[in-house]
Amino acid sequence: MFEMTVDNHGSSDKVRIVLSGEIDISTAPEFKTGLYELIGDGTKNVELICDGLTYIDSTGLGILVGALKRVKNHQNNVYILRLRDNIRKLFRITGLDKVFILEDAV
Amino acid sequence: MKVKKIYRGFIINDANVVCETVRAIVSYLENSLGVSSDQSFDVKIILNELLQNAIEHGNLSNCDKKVYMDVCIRGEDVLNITIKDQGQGFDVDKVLKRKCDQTERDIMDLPECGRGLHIVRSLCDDISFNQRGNCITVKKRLL
Repeated sequence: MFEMTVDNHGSSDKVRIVLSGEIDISTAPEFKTGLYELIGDGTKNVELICDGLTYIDSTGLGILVGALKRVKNHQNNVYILRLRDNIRKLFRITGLDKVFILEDAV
Repeated sequence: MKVKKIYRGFIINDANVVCETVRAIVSYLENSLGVSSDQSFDVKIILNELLQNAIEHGNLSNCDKKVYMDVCIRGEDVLNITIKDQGQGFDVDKVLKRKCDQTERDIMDLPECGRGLHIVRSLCDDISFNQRGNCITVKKRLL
């Protein structure tokens, strides 16, 4: 089960996306299509709210890297908020904790 | 040595089947063997990464090919996972020596794939390959 919803609260300078459930090889295509559609060419900062995200593997991490490249093209960034400890561990293992901006609070 | 069989058989090249199989194994570990959620999360990552590698890079997503998987517990608490694909194998040394230090790269040069085996190595206690490079065995102690 995987869900992705936009929660912008009227903000126009960023795209705020709430992720929940599992991003695995069966849900990764849906995640990739939905995420890239929401961020478009990357002209806004992206916030990913992840306290409901219970699983992500290397395929999902690769999709996030693709999203980061899009927004970096426009000097924007991807902020990843409220990661669970076991998922934060994967960012640390892969070195991606030094590439994305990881924050505990919104 | 006592061996507790958990799964032994072939899996078809289908993402949904892979995910359902992994979920069933992880559920069994948690509910029947009392494995902690942190440990079962690691096992889930390991199984999914290895099966995905076998299907995509080993079997080249060929629907006519299958992946063999054996999951068991040896002794009291060592989880053994063996996964074999029907591909040509890969250069194990070359892949394992690949650096995964993202900080030394420009962000625009970051690869979007190739992190799976590095994650598996970090989460398990031992990893080995056959000479051809199409069969991997991973051991993880379940505390």
